[in-house]
Amino acid sequence: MKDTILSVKNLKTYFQVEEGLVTAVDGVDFDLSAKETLAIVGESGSGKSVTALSILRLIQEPPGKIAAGEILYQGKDLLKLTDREIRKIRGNEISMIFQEPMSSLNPVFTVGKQISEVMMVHEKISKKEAEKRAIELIKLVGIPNPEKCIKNYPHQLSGGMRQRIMIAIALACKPKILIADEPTTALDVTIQSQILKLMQDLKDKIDTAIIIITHDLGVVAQLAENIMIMYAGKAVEYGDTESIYKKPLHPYTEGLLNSIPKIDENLKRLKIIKGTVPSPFNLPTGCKFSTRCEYVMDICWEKEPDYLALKDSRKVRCWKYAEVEENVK
Amino acid sequence: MSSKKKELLVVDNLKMHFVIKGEGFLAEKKYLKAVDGISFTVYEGEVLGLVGESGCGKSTTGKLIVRLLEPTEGKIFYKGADILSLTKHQFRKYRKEIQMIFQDPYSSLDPRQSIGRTIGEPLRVNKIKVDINKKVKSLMDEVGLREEFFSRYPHEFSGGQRQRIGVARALALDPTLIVCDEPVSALDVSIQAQIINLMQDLQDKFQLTYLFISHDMSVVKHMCDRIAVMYLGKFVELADKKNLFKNPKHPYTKILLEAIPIPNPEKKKEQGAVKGDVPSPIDLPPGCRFQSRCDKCKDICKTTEPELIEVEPGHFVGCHLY
Repeated sequence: MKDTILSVKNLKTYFQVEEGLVTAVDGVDFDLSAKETLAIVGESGSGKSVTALSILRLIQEPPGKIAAGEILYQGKDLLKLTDREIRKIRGNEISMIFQEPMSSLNPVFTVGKQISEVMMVHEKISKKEAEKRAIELIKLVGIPNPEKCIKNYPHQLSGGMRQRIMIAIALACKPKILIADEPTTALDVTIQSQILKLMQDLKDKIDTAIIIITHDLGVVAQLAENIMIMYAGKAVEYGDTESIYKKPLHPYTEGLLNSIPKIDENLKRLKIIKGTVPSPFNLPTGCKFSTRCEYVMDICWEKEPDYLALKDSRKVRCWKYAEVEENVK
Repeated sequence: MSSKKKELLVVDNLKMHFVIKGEGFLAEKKYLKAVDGISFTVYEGEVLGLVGESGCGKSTTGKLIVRLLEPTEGKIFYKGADILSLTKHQFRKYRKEIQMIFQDPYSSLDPRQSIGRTIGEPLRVNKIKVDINKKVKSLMDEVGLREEFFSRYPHEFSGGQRQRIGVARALALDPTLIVCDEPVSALDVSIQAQIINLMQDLQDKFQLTYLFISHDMSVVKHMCDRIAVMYLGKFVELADKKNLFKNPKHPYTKILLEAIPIPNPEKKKEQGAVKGDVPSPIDLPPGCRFQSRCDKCKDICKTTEPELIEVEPGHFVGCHLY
């Protein structure tokens, strides 16, 4: 059996807004094993970021609410911890990198202070000691001249450098799990490439499990071992990266893979997924993807399919595979 | 590329320098050379791609061509006419033919105007004598917006639909050339594909010419016939698509192509081939702009700026290696 360190079960996160109740995450299940890299892929509004924020209980209440589910980390349910207890885990055992390196650093403190602070809070070490380790961390994330860098303020650094600092902060306490929410989306492609390399190298060095949240299927293919695809608040497909790219099961996954222009292929026209993501206030009754699916059947309009477990530990939420599943069992 | 193509737009040594105030009262003025001497030709009916990373001047180039900015130096000829020497009034005739699609479909639409009004605005401003409502409805149909959206407001639409509105507005005056500034960058993957297909259909139907600005090499490769790679205000390479991807010459182009993550787990690449960041475009050192990140940097690169030269028919490179 795999060595599971995080297990999310039937997670539901709702937001109460003026127009009504938004079920941003609607019953998501997944397991993460130690040292694994899992990618959560989806378009905007699919609930991928909310899933990540829910794990660390960073959902603001109100308007948000984690309505149901369990998040088991090393056997403890994170949702049942007190604020004090979760604070000990946040940034220490599970840490997070955000998309916008500009707005997620504090502009009035030097980066050295921001890195040291994490260690001073969680590990109760002296300021001097923390500073020494901050310099090591900056070196680790590949910034030249770390002694000088710790005295800089965020605005003095470029986007790529700031994202490196974010990574240094996230890694300061050697977390077991690193959650990266669109870590390279705001960066230029050459800088993106540098950050991806850094994440790969660091993963080997410090044995952290990574959850990477992204919409970029190129980044996923390069980095992840397993993938979970989300659509309208639900997981629709799960599997290892190679099988998913080779043979996507869910029509949405297939559509996504077909709709990106590929640099190594010559296509005259892109195959598209018709329509748009349905409004969260007006979701279809049956399968959430039924309005855009090219294989839609009668049953899809009426009943929501189950999240079926197929062979090779793949999972899919689609009526097309309802019979296949019985065969497997 | 056939040699008989008609020149539609000729850009000659275009420069755009922004003045940056130095610190202190007697401080020297500094210049940000956003576009620093570029020359190129756009042929009728083609799609010319302009790629580069943020800050390379690609959007500024787009804005200069539609005269949203007045350049510091240089000339732009459209159908043979020197459009920069025209007064605003005289330019109106050409402005109709040169339209623009913007990157951000959220900020490029007036939130207080219904989309029918937004799309019809260019017709009203230019006092075109047509049945405006009928024309707007046919434009909406063209870009895949339902007629009943006519009196709705931008906030009721998703990003993809807003971009369709932007496209319809650009088409309203039957343009010849459309400058597309990152038209799909702000959109989700599945919507991006829809807009790309729409733009290709419209190009075929109305024989449009696009200047397609993007940072996404895969999209540019899909859309364009020829591609120009920009770095810090200059072209480093210009070639037709096939040549550029098969046989990139400039070290920067090579790195840029190398850096794209391929959506295929079997083709994993060694990441992180490029060192360093893009240097600040203010007060650049002499010599080649790419010297600080180039692994083939020679002595001459530090003193003399390379010219863009034609190394193969139609393949231009600005590098001392050639």
